[in-house]
Amino acid sequence: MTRFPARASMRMHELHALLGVRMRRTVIALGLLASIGAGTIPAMVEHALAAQVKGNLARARAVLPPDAMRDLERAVEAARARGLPTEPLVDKALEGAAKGVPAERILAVVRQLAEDLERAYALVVRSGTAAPADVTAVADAIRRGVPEDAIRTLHGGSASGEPIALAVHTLADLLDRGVPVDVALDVLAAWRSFGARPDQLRELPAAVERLIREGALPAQAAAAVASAVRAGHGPAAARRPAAVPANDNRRGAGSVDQPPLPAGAPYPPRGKGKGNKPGTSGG
Amino acid sequence: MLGWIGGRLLVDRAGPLALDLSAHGGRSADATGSRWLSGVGGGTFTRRMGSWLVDGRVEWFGIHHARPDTYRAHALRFAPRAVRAVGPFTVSAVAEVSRGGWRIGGPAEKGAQANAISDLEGGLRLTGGGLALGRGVGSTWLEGSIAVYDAINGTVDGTFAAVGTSGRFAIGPAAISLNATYWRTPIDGELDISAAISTRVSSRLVAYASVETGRTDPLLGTPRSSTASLGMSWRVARSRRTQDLPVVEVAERVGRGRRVRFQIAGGVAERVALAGSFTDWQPRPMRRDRDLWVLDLVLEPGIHHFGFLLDGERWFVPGHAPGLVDDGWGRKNASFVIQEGP
Repeated sequence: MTRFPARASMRMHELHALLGVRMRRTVIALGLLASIGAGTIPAMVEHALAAQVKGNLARARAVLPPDAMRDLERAVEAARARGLPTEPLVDKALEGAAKGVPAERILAVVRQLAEDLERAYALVVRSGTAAPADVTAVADAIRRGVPEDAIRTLHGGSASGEPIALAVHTLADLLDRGVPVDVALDVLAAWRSFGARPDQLRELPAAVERLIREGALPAQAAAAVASAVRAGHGPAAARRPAAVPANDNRRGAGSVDQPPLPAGAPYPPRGKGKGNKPGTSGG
Repeated sequence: MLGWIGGRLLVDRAGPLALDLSAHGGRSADATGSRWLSGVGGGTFTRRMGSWLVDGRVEWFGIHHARPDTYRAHALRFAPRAVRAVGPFTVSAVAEVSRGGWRIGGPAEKGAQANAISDLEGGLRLTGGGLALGRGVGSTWLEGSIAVYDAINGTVDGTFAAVGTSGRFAIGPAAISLNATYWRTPIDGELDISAAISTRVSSRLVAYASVETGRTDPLLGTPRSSTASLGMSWRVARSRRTQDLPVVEVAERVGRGRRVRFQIAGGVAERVALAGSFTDWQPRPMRRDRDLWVLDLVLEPGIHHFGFLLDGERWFVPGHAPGLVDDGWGRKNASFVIQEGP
């Protein structure tokens, strides 16, 4: 099999040939997949969806051995029956094939992803339905180490129409930067209290990162961003709390931003140095 | 009255590798009229490693002190720090290794009366580290810390141990920090208490004041002295580029989707391609634009995963790319979300 060339050399045109027909992916299709679970879609759309799923699987069939393909189809069918998005599963299989991963390792990751999607679905389902994009984003966040309690808290406080997928993704980005989970949730609460604009969500991790690079601890940086958002200035306006320049906590034990000796004090008795004894040299 | 009047010039460059250069000097306000000048050049790196934020500082400093004998000291310092969140707390582990030397010479000025000590020299060695545990409570940052250093400075050699607590909070535009640290030096126990207040007068001007009871400096061995200081810090200029170029820029709406720009620095690659869930993991060649590799696409709403393929051989995801997630097979993908709606 031709592989993504991190381990074996690869040419782009070979990968193009390998992966074959391009798939047109849309969130409409994802939404329809969720609706299958709820059993509410019209027959015409169901046919379109079936064609879409078949298209995905056809591409996977071109790159996976028959045994592995059967296992993948079983995993997709099981996910579909539970109302979970199936596109991430097929996409993961294609990714693994493109990267030259052996089939059994691809399937192990696909199965793990199906479990993550199920856990994610349980976290975001409301009235028996959950947006596929939200389920996929939450599954991603779980893989990135976001505690399920935090996701539950974030989702529980969300208003209708709020961009949950983007908010969960932003939460994971903040935790990635070392922000404690309660502070990260507070940043998102600040965002929520000031209009919950989707575009502002993208600015939050970048603003925290900037302050960290200016020397703030992640928790301090995030708290400063939350304050700026609450004050209505926006994340980009957040500043590291003004500090006394000589009091930079990254400078270690000693400080050379002060005179080495206090004014008027005698020299310390440096008795352990090498050289002339005190007073024996006129210098 | 004893005191110093001085100033500091700081030039630095922010980013994952921040460089700075500063000179700091002053003159004693007492009858001796002694002077001092110090220079510091260093760099600070910041890197994310899994759930750890690792940063560190490497610097060299030199001090020249004339009062009227000359005292010179210099050292190379390395101070790494690793930070991570543990539940609601932030844990920091810090270390410091410094190596250098000091020298006392003859009178700095012709005709001046020599100090009783001259022409002595020795080494400066400091090795140690500590742990700090911090947490934000409302707008207050509280921290407790412990540290141990082994010091050789020719004056107070031996083990320094410290246990401290500090708090930082804001009242209006003013940031206030309070610190109390008990130091066990080789000679004695010392309680170092300090308070500092600073406020932004404008976007470029910070005013500050501090008082400190002081402690014996483990690096230089200088004796404990109480200080009170007032100062102003003026940022003369600032580079616009204070962070990395974003790998993904989500731009205007196009139909249901968004125009998205992918970009990475040129480096030494001769070909760069983008591969992701939105290309069915097929590499899509990027175009060279000066020192960048760029590709513009219109993507539908949803969560998207991607990475870059360098020279058709190497999977690459920059450390500052958004949404880093394990791909399940030991590599990373970057990810981002395009939200449906306005």
